[in-house]
Amino acid sequence: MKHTVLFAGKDLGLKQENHFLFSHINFELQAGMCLGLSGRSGEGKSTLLRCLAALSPITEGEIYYRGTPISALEKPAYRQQVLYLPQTPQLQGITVQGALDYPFTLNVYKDLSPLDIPAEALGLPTSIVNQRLQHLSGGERQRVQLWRALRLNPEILLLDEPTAALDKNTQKQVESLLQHWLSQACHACIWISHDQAQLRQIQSQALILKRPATSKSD
Amino acid sequence: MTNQFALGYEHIALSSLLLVIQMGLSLLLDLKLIRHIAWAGLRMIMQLSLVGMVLTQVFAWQNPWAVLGLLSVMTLVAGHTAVSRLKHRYPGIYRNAMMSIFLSSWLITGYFLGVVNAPSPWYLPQYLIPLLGMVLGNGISGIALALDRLLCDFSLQQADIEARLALGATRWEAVHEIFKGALQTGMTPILNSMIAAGLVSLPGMMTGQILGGASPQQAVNYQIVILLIISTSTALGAFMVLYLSYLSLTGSDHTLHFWVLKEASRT
Repeated sequence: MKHTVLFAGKDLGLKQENHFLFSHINFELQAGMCLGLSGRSGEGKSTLLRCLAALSPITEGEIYYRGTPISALEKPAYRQQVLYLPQTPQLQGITVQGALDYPFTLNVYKDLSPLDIPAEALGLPTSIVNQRLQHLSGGERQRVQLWRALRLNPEILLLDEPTAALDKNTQKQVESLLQHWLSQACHACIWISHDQAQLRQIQSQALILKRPATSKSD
Repeated sequence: MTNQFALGYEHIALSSLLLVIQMGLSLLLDLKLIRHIAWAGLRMIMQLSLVGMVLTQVFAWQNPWAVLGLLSVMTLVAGHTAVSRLKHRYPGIYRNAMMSIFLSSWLITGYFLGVVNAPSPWYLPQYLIPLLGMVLGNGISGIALALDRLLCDFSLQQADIEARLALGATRWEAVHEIFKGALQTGMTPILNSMIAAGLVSLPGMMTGQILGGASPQQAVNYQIVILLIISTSTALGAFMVLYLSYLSLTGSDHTLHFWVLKEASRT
């Protein structure tokens, strides 16, 4: 099999009323790649990620998953492969275990079982599964969200500041976990961060959002 | 025997003093409802007086078109009222509420007329107008409560709904718990009044019939039938308005159209 482009955006733009929040966004992700997405607050990074997750419509261009325009794909199955992790984690259920199991109540996961990933891989104690969600710290919620995502075995992760609530050591641990994950077959991610040092370390391409004119460099 | 119960303008004037108690409460707790209470009271009195005149006329005509016309106006007003005090709106909400209240109330009332007990003639205004009126009145509160709950939850839990969608939930999987909660909310008052019927209060229609001289047994039989009609029509109407709202607020590509949901400007 040739080296396929897993995920691509061609000339993406979002028009809001009479101005563009972003426009002319182009990228291509192959297996193992991480696209670092940066730019000042309010420049539309999170909105772009939501658009890539097909939660909000884009007004210009087309997003491709494995060569197929996503407008032609069934969204639940698409989102199962291209998994979006919002900046503020939303965990369903009462305990951490409930939150981890929630996706398997959905039709798209009904014949699948979770990957076996230990809590320690995210720097979490094994006993955390019995914790009530309301007692989790911000950093724990962020890691539980990532843990749940990795157990679902997606191909592409859309990460909105996934380590923003973590201390330096845990941040390093999560970065190396994700770098290891990227090195496995057919994985890629888009990573929003304000931390240029972090992005330089993890990204294989960079995309900087600027308004009104947007540009891309790599 | 009806003389004893007959009410004139002096009785209405004395009863209107009761509004002062409601306004006092509003003043005491700073509810900012004084103008609202005064307006609601005044409007209720004027509306009912006007309705008295219209009903007298329609009863005199005994014409099916006049009856159907009046029933249609009542239905339109009911649909409008169900939406008018909601905190949130979306384009098409009036159409959805009108359709739901119209279909649910006319269908169930039609079942009663067609299958259970038809008056003669079928459009007998003394019968049909109060019947549909009761069905609509309860339908309004069922629809308004259910819809208010649904729209508040959609607005408050937007991030949670989208997180479910992002995990691969279908739009129905993402919102069905909210939908269920809203339907329960819409049905609770009528279920409560069925449970309390006769024990806590004598329902309005029964009270009226007894005051009008009907036997308690007849009044009870009517009340049972009415409560069954009302509860079914309320459940159906609430379900329909929730389902139509669900279709208006989500996309077939399993997205939440949160941008169409707007806070209503308070009047």
